[in-house]
Amino acid sequence: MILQLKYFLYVYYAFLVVWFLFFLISIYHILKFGFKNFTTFFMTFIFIGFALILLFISFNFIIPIDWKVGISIFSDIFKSNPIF
Amino acid sequence: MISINRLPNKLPNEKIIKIIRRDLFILFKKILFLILLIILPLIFFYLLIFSQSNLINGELTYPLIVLGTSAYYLFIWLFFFFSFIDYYLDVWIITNERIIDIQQKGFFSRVISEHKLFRIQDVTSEVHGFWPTVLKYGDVHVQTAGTIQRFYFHQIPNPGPVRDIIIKLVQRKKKEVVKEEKHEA
Repeated sequence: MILQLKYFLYVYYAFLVVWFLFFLISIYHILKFGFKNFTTFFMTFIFIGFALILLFISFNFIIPIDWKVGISIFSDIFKSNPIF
Repeated sequence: MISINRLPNKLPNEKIIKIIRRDLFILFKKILFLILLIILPLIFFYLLIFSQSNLINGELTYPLIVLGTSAYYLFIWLFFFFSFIDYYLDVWIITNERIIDIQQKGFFSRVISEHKLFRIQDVTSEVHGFWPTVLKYGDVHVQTAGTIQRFYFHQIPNPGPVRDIIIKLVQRKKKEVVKEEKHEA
């Protein structure tokens, strides 16, 4: 059985979708319920900025990987078992 | 957004005396925890390089490590921001007419309560523990004659002076109320 690496990437993308949802929820909360002052805007800016930096660094590592590579799993079990 | 100049249900001649949040040490503890969570994978990878260096370069393991590390750091950054919002959106506002207690209980759950000063009967401050004693933060309990009989200021800086401020404001307000009642009579 060959498992392509891209399926792990799809799981990661699903995680990113959920993460982004909570990201939007947290931005909404601080902007709606926070006081209109420098701290609110500064922390929102820091949060968004660091999140973008983390995503940028992540994709810098993710893009060079060949995700179409397949990994064979369980093949050795069938080869070595005399029944098969 | 809440503006400091626009309180909810603002009363005539109402002025803000003090805006209180939990002590900065509480936020500092969250930041320390975040730093620990950031460092943990780095220690793990450092040990991994020495014991199983081929794992990092493996055809399957390297992509999984990249995805896992990215997901981990994105998660803890989001987690830290949740913690900050939980700290930042809990506020107590003391005015010359009332005390406004704003508590953010997770997401999509916010409790705002007001307690009129003339209904306050008793104010107590408490400081327990080594760090609260050294850094001077603690709780203030306020006993009222209202529906919610007791409410709390949690982990606020300088609870003693805050207690004194509330007591003075309550005494002043009660004198004003008595004067108004005499005037009306």
